[in-house]
Amino acid sequence: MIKIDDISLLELAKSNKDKAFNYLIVEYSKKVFNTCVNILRNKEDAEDVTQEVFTAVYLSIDTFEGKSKLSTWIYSIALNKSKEFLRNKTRKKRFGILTTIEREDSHFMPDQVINFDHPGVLLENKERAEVFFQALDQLAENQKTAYTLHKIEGVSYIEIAEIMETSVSSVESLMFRAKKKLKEVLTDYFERNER
Amino acid sequence: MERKEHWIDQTLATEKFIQSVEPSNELMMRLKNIPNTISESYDKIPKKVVWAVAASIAILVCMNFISLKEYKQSSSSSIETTELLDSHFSYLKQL
Repeated sequence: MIKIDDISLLELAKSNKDKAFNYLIVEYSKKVFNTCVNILRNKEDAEDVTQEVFTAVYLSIDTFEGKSKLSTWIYSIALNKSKEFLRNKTRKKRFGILTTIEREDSHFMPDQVINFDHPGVLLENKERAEVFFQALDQLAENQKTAYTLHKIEGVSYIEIAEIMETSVSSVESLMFRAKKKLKEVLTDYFERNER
Repeated sequence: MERKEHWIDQTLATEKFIQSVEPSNELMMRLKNIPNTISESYDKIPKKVVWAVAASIAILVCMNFISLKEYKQSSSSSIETTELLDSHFSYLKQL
């Protein structure tokens, strides 16, 4: 498939929206789906959110001003839609001590761990991956976002800074704190379970 | 101690074993169908209804505007009456 740069694609969106949209589906559907899967850790949920992301993209592609890269814009929509989906799902199933998803210090079991069905995790790694994701959920939301994007998706610090509307040094700081917190959580888990 | 460190490193390395997943054909079909579903949902609202709602809003705005104008007029005339009465009573007091 021929690569089209952002400016040409935005021009195309103004003259032939459907054609530009089809190009975006081919180019970005895998990235968006994987971002959603890594946040939601459930195939069906990720598919629903991916559809929502592309619906939002279709509705606003012709008014997108191109101030940021298209990939950055689409990533931001995917992140926001996934977080929104999780918030709504958590709100619906909230009971007892299984409360807020934003709390940094809580030892709750979020919904995406209960319904863990990550299609990118092989069966032999599933148990360890569940522990890893459970630890990841103990991080503050912005640390979790930065860590997921960089370590799992392979997004660069510069692009993460653009997606999260912050500076590169802030992303570096988020990553440092995320790694530190992850080690603490895993140490605690190991000591409690004495593996 | 070493065992713990090893386990933590192994768990953190899980991120390397998470594979990229191809979206299913069904999802691709759903995505490609988005332009049709959006235009269908727009077509579901009859144009008559859209015009009726627009006309109702316009009438409501006009009615509010007229009533506001009348209220202003009535309040300014009542001020004039009060001023007239005040001057009349102060004249009577002087007498």
